[in-house]
Amino acid sequence: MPIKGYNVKYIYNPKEPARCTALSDVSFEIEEKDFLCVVGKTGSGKSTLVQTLNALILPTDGYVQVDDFYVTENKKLKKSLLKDKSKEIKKNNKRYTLLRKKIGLVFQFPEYQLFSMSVLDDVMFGPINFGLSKEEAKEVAKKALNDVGINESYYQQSPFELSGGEKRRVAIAGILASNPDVLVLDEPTAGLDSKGKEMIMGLLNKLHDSGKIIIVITHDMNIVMNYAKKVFVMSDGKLIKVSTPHELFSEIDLADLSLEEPAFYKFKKLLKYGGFAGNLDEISEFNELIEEIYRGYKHDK
Amino acid sequence: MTNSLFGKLTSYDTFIHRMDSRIKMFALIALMVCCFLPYGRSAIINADGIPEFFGYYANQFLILGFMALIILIIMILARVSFLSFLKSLAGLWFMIIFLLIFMVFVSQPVNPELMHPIYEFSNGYTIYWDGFLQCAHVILRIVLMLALTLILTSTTAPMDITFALERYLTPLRLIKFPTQIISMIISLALRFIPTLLEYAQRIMKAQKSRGVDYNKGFIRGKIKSITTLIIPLLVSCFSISDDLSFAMDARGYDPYGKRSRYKTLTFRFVDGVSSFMLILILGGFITLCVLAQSYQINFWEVFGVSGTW
Amino acid sequence: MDKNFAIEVKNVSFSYEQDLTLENISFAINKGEYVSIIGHNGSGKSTIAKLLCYLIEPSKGEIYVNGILENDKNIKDIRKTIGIVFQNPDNQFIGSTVEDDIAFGLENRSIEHDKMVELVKEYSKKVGMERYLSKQPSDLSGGQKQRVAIAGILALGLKIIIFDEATSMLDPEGVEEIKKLIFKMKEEDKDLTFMSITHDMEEAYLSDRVLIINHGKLFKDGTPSEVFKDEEEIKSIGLDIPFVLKIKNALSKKGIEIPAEIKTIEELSKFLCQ
Repeated sequence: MPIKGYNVKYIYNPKEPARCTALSDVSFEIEEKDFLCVVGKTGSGKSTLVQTLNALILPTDGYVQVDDFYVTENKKLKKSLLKDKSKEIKKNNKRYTLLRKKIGLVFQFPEYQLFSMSVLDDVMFGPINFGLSKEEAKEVAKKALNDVGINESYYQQSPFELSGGEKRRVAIAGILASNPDVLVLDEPTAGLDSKGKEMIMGLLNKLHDSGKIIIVITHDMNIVMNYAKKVFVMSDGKLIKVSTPHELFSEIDLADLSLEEPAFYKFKKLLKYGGFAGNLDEISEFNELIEEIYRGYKHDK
Repeated sequence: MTNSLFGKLTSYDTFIHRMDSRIKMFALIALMVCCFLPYGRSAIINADGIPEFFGYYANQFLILGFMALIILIIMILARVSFLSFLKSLAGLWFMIIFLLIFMVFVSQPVNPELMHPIYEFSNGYTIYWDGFLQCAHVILRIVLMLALTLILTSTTAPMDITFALERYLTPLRLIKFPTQIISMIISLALRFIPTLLEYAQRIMKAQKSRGVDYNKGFIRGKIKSITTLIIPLLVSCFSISDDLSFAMDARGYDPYGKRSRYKTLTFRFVDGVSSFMLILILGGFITLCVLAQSYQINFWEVFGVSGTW
Repeated sequence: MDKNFAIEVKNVSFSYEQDLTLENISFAINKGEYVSIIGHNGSGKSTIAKLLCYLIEPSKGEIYVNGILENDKNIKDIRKTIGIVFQNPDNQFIGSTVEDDIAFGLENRSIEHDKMVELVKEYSKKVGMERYLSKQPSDLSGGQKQRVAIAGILALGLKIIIFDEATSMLDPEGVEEIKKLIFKMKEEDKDLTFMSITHDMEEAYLSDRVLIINHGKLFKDGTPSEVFKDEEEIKSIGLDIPFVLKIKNALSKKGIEIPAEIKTIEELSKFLCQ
């Protein structure tokens, strides 16, 4: 299920002097089996961009296409896009509920969206909204909770009594239960310790292996380095670079974008500019780096 | 949804935006009072022994129309968008229906001989033209008041509103009313409105991603979808107030202790001019009210319009 | 109750609804020291921060700041000694604007108006926020809000500052801002004592001393090099070791010894390139 954006533009408060362009002419393509990280400093338009994917934000101009869904606020454009389409497609494009089932979006600090009396009820909420029966919803909810590592003993507990990390996992299960083809997460590891980060990212990796498209907005370049297959770099509402993590960290000066390089690549660069004897360019593994440093250091001596 | 409720501060920089919030607050109250002063005469019986239909309301509508004009000018000066005003009125339809039902169909007059019946049911129950008039009159007042409030909220930062409020509450200290605490509560509440709005928006979006359609369904569906917003919002509120109380405590806040003030307001020339104009307006309307009440003047006659209605 | 210690914690325990969050913790911090406290989520390290500021009371044990015993009677003196910057930048911003927020603590102390204006000016400049005085919190970034919080503490003349995960909700830019500011403050005033509760191992590695809290107990207390010595042990309690140290350890296994004073990748690369 490829996702395409054509000249997506979004303006906040278009009629006031304080209006602000959050996205200007962003065109992009997200392919099957992508593990995509979206990076950029605060206010660069990352969050706005991912919210156009499931029509929580409608582009002021341009459009996003997901299967037969066309997301745009420009009525003329939408009409022309839907002109030759079947009745059913036209109907689906009026309300985006079906699109939201396909593209699950987990917001920052999702633990603040829980509301039910029990963990299981909360996770069942999404599937029921999307039309499943109670029994079916229970099944998918149990499976989702199992996937995020929340076991049966928690099912009847109040979600408000869980620890921060557990709440977050329950909230992610709430989206996962609807079995979306695409999972989008805004800063899923914010505020977690290294163990918690590994747990969440490991889960996403597993979901990716099972065939889902994963999109993660993050500031943490170590996550980008260790998990992403593709990176979108956003700056001032524009998509300025699409690349692999290795390419990104070796070629672009991230300081210009106020992003922090992963220590690994920063160290490599420092060695290179310091005139270290050895070829470090191709290295992307920690052990290789140590080997190369060892070789170069001995060679120098 | 949230914007139309509170009226959002716009980013223009008109002189009304710059005006001292205490004066704006006073103006709001003064003009509201003007809307509610009685300008009408008592009922007038004409030569045929029938009470004049438009008698009481003739003056009332004229003056309120004049008031509407003043408010419209202020709205234009303050660059309050007319569209946002209409949007804020959208929530009013329920009230209009209620008022209509109540005033036209339910309430029965004390002096039926002064009224103008439309239809009399066999059991003596009567519907009067006067009910519609009365209803229109009340709605006009409410609309004017809404317009005034909208002007205040869209030209004044919430903080400045509290500051003004606190100043006006100060005299209550004489009767041991804890104004400092009350104003701290109000100012914190206002301080966190933007934060909570942001949270509310995020939660709503998150729930939409889980298939909630906030526009769909009647009563039952609505209640269900509102709980998905309210409960998380309450949880966030508690966590904010937890953090906040620790932060205030750590910085030595004592609600009953003596505190000095950092913020002082200076009175500028423009504020002087606007308060002068305000006093003129207020005085003018009070005069009109007194004239109408004690001399039974029909203001239409000033414009050369007379006769019966 | 040694006056030379900035903070002295003696056999402190804290329980919350029957759960023992902290168990028999003792340590002492010297004046002018920069100490990091690390531990996994829920280890009880944030509870320590609140205890030190006497926002909550220990169930057992005693805490002294600058030699003052923490109890209800001394609360005013405690507030004049120790300040705290919390995790959530928005929820600790009390004033409606930057200047109001910096002045909040001063108002509580009934400092007169002209003096306040002076202090607000001076300390907003110190944290680089002098051009934002009339801005509202919604117009500021997380890093800027935390700087305002720091200015509020400095303006009160407090000498002990606790950072309770103060950078964990910030973007990299904000983290960098705050780190720089801390080092600048340390440079300017040697008497300032910092205690940073953090997830950032690189930051912990740069401090004078590190305390590790694990399941409510003091697991380790010492210099960064001592504390992070055993990589496996640190990993076993769910923590990571700093990247520089990872490289240093890997190289030392291969027989290249790196001097202990090298603590950043900049220094390390310089050393290797010599």
